[in-house]
Amino acid sequence: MRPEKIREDFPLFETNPSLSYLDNAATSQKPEQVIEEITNFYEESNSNTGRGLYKLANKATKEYEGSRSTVADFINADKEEIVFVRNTTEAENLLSSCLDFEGDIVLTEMAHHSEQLPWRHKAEQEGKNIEYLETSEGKISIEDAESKIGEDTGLVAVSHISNVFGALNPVEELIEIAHENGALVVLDCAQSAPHKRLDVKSLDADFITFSGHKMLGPTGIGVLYGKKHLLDDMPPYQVGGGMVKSVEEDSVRFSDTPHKFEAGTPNIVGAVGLKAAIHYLENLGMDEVEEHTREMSSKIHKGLESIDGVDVISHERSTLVSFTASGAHPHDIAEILNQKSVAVRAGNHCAQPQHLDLDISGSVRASPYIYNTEEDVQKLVDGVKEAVKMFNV
Amino acid sequence: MYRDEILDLYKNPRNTGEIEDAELKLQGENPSCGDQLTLYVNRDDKITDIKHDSDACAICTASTSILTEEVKGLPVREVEELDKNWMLEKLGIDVSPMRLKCALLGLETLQKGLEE
Repeated sequence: MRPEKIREDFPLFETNPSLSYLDNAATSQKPEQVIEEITNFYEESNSNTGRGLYKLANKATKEYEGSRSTVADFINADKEEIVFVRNTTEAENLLSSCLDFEGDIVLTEMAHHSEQLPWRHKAEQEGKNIEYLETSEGKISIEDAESKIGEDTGLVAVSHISNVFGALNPVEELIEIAHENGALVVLDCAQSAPHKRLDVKSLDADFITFSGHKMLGPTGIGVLYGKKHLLDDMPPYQVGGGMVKSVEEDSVRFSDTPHKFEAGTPNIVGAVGLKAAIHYLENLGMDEVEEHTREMSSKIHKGLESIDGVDVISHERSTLVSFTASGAHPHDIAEILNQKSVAVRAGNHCAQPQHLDLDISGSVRASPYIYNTEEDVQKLVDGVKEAVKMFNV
Repeated sequence: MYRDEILDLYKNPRNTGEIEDAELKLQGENPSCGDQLTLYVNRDDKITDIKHDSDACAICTASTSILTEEVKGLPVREVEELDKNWMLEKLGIDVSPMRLKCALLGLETLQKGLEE
């Protein structure tokens, strides 16, 4: 992997040449191949999908549905199992609104608010109990899962990779435990899809959710994968145009999966852009992508650990590095780094309960991706050193 | 942003600690970024005493320190009138939009408490 060369594909680094962008767990930058694909669509193929009978409309429909096939191949699913949504949050909300099941809900302490609040809302409305799986050394505790997932469990919603710790959760084991107890599993892959080859058939999760914008795609496009028979059994999320077979005065017949979940004109360019992003990643090779992210994280981890007063919360070789520093508040560290053109995230990263549990008010998170170089790592480490020195009380 | 005065107020915050049996004990927080503070206030028609206990960033700690120094002895009615611009002027630095809530946490906590 040659990150310096990859960087040249990203126009944002041309306009911000000194930027060390290390906030990829929040969103990624976009290569010109994705931006061009979006422009090309508007310049050459723009029309609505699934409706018009003219040449251009066929072209647009083909592009949109072709993107669905690309996403399906990317995660080893069937085309009918891919629903386009806005983002991970919408996918989780769609599920919590439409999925009907008996039994209680199991979430995790480390859950991002987007995979936690929709299910808490459902539990409140339907009188379901919620249990939270504990975090043990940055991962979901299997021991705790074995004791909390039981016959009364109807659904287990977990992250593939935590956005606080960056560690890969033991999801295969979790899914097995859930299925043994007859519970459905929703896997939040927002942090794993950008870095890891996903195979829904071998994972055997019932649903997975992820966002396009964290994996080089545009904002406003995300994916809900569901096993076909489960999606077939669910009612539509929203109703309107583009999701019906026929509408008569006293009856409506909805389209089949997945179109019944895509009411209204969809985000066509979003899907087209996501297709280009997946092609870009596949050209690099997902294994190489993952290896590079982990290597960069590992170097950041080592560099930070050598600074007195810095406490790294995440594991070595995670996809990201989160840390605190004694005497220096996360926001102040991020501000000093900002002054050196290093972009990181500071706060509780939409996982407030997990931070309360760790008894810290927040953390700093550096999350690398394919275009990050050793120079970025060095700038970050030097900046943190300076911040610790400046704020040390 | 981090002028020497701000760093000094962060490392040596003014009027810190607890007032025993304070008339008002006010808690403020910015949950998303992790700033937390408690204000202890005694007042009649003026602020007669005020202390703070802050676990917060440099901007929040410094501005709360300045706040306690400025409002002690001030009529409550005047404190209620203070606004964002007053606080930023006293702080004397440019604050980015994301850090505005850090700079204003102390003032907003105090005004909300006085109102109630």
